[in-house]
Amino acid sequence: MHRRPIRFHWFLLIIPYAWDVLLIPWVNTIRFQPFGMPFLFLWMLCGIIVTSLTIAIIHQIDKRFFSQQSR
Amino acid sequence: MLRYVIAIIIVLGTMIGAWAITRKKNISLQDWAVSGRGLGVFLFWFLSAGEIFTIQAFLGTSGWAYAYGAPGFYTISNVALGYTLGYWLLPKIWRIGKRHSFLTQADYYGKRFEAPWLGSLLAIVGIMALIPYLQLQFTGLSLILKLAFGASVNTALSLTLAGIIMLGFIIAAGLRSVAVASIVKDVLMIVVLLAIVFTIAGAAHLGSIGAIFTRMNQSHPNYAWLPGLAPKLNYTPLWFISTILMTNLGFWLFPQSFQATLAARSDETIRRNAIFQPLYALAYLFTFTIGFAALLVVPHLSNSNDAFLALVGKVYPNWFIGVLAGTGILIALVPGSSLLLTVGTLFANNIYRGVFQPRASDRVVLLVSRLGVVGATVIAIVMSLNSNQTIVGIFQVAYSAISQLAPSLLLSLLWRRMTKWGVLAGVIVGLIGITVPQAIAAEKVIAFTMNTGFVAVILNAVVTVVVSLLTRAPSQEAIEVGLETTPEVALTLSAAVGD
Repeated sequence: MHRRPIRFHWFLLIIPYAWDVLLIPWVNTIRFQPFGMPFLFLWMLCGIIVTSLTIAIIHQIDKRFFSQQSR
Repeated sequence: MLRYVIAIIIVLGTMIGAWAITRKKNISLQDWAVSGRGLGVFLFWFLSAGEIFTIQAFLGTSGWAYAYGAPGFYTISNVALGYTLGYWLLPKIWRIGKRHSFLTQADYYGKRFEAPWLGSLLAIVGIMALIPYLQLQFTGLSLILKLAFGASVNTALSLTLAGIIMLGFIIAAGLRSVAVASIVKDVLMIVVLLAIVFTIAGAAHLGSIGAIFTRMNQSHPNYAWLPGLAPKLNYTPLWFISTILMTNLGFWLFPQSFQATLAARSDETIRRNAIFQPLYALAYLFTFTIGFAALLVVPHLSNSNDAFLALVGKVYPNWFIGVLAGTGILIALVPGSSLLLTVGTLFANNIYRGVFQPRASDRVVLLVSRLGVVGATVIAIVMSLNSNQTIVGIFQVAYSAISQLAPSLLLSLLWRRMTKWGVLAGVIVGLIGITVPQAIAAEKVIAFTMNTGFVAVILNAVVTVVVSLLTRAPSQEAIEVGLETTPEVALTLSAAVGD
């Protein structure tokens, strides 16, 4: 059986889950309101950007990873 | 009069234009259902955006903002986390689908578990979840038609008309036309949302955009935090998290999202899309803000569905309402078309061919798909005429049903020992889990404040594992469909990305 090497950098995919799930009970206790907006609202919107960046970084590492593999 | 003309030009222009651009003689089943597996990054982005940003995102989220405040924010993470899971999941699905020439989700289940009947059965579950999703598009559509054409218009008649436009479009065109129509729909939607957000505060005499939030803090101080404006409904952080997780698990199980994945040109297309697709969800900034503005300007609406449109109808000029109505109709029709197409293919490929006519040719299946589409439209229109549920409510029903397929899909890609009986038992338990507790009003006892759909998914996963261990292991060949263990597979994998 062929085994693919484990891609440790894929564990970075945990970051968006930590942001949008794990930290929510704590975020919900924050009473600070930037620009008068709900903190949770801004937090969730920032989560979108954090996710996009995380996936972009993983994709970059993937590209290098795979090109080394095929050499 | 102006608003009618504008709305009609936008809708018919887009639908006919998209059909004309992608027109092709002798369209095959593969072309129709998965666009010949040939969509590049650009069209694939729009196809995905077209499917994700439905009438639920447009009217549903502003309705949440209006009725509950903070609990609605859970939808903001939906797309982002969907693609976080999708970065791992979708390239796999694409490769498997390409290797075995799958058209639908049910094709995969049938092959992975060496049981076409299981594929057919899960196709029925998929269709059961798609019908309410489709119903929701029609509910939204009828609200938009009411805004544009006044309350005097006959809802049944106008929905039937909209249904006929949609049917004509989807029967003549295919998945590629949906992607092209999405370009117009999504560009218009962003333009309309931007226009509203930047003018609403002035037009409704609220002051600036910032004033919307200041006023919300004064008049509804609880809106900014969980449990939000309706504390009795127990929208706690626990509910928030469990709902996010449930919708995340269900995200790729909606058969139309699964099928759209197969339409990409390569797995690299899918990975690139995963980087940029989540950013589109930033548009929720606008829909929620508009929902809050609606609560300030038109409070006491009997149904939160109306929040967005009641606000706009009150403060904007005639021609703008025409643009908004045209855009809104597209937001219902374009995703609706892809839902219909999926129902049609599932029905024809996995129920008609899967159960009744195993030797039916692709041409016959294409014909049956198109007939199935007609049936689904009729059912969805009748359901939306006979229901006054909120968009959000219907959306949750569809999600909690479809999420019950998640444990079987995810485990089947990871775990060799998984069996068809495990899948069957798990899905049955899951479906009982989302219906019975509600029927006997025992949700709060069983799930505390968690989302019942999420609790059902957990039970479902446990039962799937236990029953799988108790039943006979599947053959090596079946396992390989899901686990991609052959060296040949691994080679194509690196070749595809190593450019």
